[in-house]
Amino acid sequence: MCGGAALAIAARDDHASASALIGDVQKSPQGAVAGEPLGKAKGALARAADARAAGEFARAEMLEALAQEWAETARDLVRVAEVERQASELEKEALDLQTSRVRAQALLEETVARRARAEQALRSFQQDGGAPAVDAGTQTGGER
Amino acid sequence: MSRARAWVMAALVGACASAPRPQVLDQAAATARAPALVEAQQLAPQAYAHAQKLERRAEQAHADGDAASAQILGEHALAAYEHAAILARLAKAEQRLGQARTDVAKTGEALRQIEAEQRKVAALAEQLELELKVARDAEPLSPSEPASAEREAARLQAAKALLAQARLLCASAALVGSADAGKQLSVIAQLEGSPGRPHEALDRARAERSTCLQALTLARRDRVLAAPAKSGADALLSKLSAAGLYPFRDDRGVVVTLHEPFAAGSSELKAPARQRLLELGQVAKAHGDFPVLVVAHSARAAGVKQEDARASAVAEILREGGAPKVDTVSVGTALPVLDPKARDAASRNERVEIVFVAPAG
Repeated sequence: MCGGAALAIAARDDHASASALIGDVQKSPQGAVAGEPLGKAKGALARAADARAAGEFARAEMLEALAQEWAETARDLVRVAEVERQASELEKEALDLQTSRVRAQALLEETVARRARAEQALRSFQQDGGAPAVDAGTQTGGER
Repeated sequence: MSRARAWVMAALVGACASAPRPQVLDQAAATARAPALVEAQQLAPQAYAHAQKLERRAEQAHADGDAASAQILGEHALAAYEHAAILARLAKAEQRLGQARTDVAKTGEALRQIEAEQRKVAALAEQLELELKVARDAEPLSPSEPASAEREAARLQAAKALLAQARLLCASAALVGSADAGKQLSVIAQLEGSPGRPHEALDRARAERSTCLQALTLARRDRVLAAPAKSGADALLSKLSAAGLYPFRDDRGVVVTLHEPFAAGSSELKAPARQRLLELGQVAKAHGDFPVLVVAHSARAAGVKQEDARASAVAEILREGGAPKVDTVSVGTALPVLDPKARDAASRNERVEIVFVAPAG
């Protein structure tokens, strides 16, 4: 008796839980991606209702558990879509950053060379007391 | 016939007949061997085990002749395998997301480090280039030779302008901590008092200007190298532009010009100019590392006393507005904007410059 009551409670839980999950997934912005498992969850719930109406309670409970499985699958499919979207965005951001990093590194190398030319030019100017061997102002290749 | 009655009929028929193997059991078995499910064994082992258990129960129900249960449990096993595959996909997506987060953080940090190094190296390169330019400018030119009286008069005028510029540069250098600028200002004052022969005065004035620019450049060097990204001049320029003050930049820093700020013939500020100066004092307070140099320009020779009084009046209002460090210079008519003989020249030439002396270039 007690076991039967427990089973009935579990079945009611599956039914309520599946119905709630179906509602949540339908409301989510990416619910469309889970159309197939949602349809199967709804179908299983309808079959469970029929079995229950016919007094086939054990079958009804099995179908409600099936509905719950499909509803969870639908929920997780929506979650997958969201995580994959986030991952794609971040991967693109990482790629953009990598491109910026390569450019920044190239610019830094050019600037280091520019600094070296300026140092050399100033040193020559100070040592020779005249015009430097390398003209820092005109050798920078348009960097300034 | 209602759906419920049909269900009962189907169940009875299922119970009485020799039950054929439900197709869904074969589908579940095939699905369990699919590549996605092989991956699910690794990434979603609990979900996969749950599906296997359901499959075994379905097979058992079929073996027991319970076709309806075998059908439903087989469907459930199929759903559970699909769920396991979705969970495996979710685990992979989360791994991708985690990896992408790490990549963004690492690459972003590397980029920030390179950019910081770039600012430092660029500041040093610019400083060296500036020092080179200043050193070249300071190189003595071939001395000027005496010329016609008219030419000599023009040279004298040019020498006065160059000395005034030198004074402004040295005063700016002194404000940002140059030790040599004060001494140089005394030399300039002597030259202004007794310029000597015009062609020689021009050469000396040119040299003084270069020396003062050099003093200003060197005074800024340590700060430029210590904090290359912290000049702050761009932010100050933007702020003053936004306030409609039409600022510009030159060797000294950021400059705002007020035209005809005084009542005619006096050193009393007009009300709008006073208001502007109070606002500028507040800006100077907000940018406390930019000392302020007040430069009074006259349209006519009004006498040193009045020019000094005018510059002091401006400095006083700036201090009232909050400017922490203010100095004044009067340059008289040495640096006109327009030829004094031109129409409306007086209104353009009589002006006060508020120079926010850039501490780091």
